[in-house]
Amino acid sequence: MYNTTEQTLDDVLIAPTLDERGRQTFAKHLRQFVFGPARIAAARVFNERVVPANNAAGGAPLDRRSARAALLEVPQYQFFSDLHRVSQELIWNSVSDTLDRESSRLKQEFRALEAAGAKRKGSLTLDPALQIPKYLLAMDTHCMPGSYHTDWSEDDLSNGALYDRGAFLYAPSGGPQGDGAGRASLAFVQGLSPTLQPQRILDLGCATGGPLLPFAAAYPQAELHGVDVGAPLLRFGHLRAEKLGIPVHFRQADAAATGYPDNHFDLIVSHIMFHETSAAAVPAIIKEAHRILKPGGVFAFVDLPNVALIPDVFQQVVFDGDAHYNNEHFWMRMHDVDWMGSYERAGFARESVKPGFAPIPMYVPRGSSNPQSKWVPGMFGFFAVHATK
Amino acid sequence: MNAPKPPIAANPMIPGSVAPQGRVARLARGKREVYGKASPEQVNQLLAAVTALTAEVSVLRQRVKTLEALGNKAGWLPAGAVDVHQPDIAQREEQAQWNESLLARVFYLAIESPPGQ
Repeated sequence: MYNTTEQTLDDVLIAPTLDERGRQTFAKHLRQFVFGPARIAAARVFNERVVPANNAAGGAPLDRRSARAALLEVPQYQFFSDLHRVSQELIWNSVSDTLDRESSRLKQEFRALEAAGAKRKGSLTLDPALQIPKYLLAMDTHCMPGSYHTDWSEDDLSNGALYDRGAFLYAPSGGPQGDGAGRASLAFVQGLSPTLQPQRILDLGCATGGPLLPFAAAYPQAELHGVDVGAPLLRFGHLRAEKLGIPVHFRQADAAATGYPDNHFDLIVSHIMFHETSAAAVPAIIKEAHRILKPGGVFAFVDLPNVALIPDVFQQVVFDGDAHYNNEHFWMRMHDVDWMGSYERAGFARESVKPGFAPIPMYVPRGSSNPQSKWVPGMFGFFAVHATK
Repeated sequence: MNAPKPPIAANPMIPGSVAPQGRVARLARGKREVYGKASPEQVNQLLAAVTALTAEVSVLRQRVKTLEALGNKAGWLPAGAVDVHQPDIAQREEQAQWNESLLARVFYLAIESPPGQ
């Protein structure tokens, strides 16, 4: 049973009031309703009416596109999709209400930290002149107003907190600290590179730094770095990392032009970033990763799976719905990229590139049948690639 | 007569939510007459109804706050006790179940099927 009190002030640095928590809880339950009963109602109509009608008419077997075209005429699917969009909007808006009260306090904490100077364990390097990639400016990814990069005021942390809290509400499997994807990629890396002891680790598209936490625990000797284009994410990540006492060096940069020296990192990771980029950005980012990786170093990423491989065509349409109703426009097209060619052109030897599958662990909060929260193996896996320079 | 199918399947995202078997259907068999595309006037009527309902939500909140204030004054509800209350696990689970059934009741038309269909 997921609940919104599982994520604490230590995790997300903002405290909702009773009413705000009520709205956030409702938004989460609405999402569960959308992907539970509303999705099931649409699936029933698809299986019991749409497919038989297509068969009776002698049509070709429905694929993702033809099934979606048919479903657009089905009221239950229209309802499911409309409510999917609304639930996503309510999640962000319910958190923004809390930020209206809490963002100035967050900013004060951040400025006090900045004033502490050398007392900090990690660092934050922002680039106000950074050009935000066009693919992020075209729309607000997963409908989060302002996306990753917008400062609503000077030294703003709002969208960092918004991302962290909202992501926990819509995908609670990531855990209260947002480290679920990091747990998946760490296991993937350790499986293929069991003897690797990296001294310097970089997370590309690090957001607020949650996925780096398992790496900090597994490689306590390593220097941790994270780059992202979003300044509010990085300010928030920096403040939280310092509060947790974990030294992380955050830098605002495009993953395709990080500014680090050649041959600099032993391990480069990335978590569910590529599907929010573009067909042109993917090879550019792989090339940059190769440049800043030490010889013998590892570049490993995890991202969303290729749902075209799921046998259930209705479920393919459901996942594809994220492109149409949740501004995840590159998810499906990401899997059309020439990945192996991109790695080879970047300088990786073909035999060193290992596409794979990284099981996604599920966070199970406390409940009446589960007195302690825990991580369990999940049903789904990330698309993952491990490459050695 | 076909056996009625369970109108609402269990929600796989909410452990413990059990699909009621053999419950009374919420929709009747037979054609449901609907009009063509909604006219601007009908959309406007819907907007008016949603706005009026919003007013009623505001009225309900005012009454709850009044009860809290009176309880505080009379000494049976300490000031701020409601705002700092942290629901325990059983209360949170009850709220989750209740929200699911609330949504199922409000959106019955979108998720229910007539018996045997």
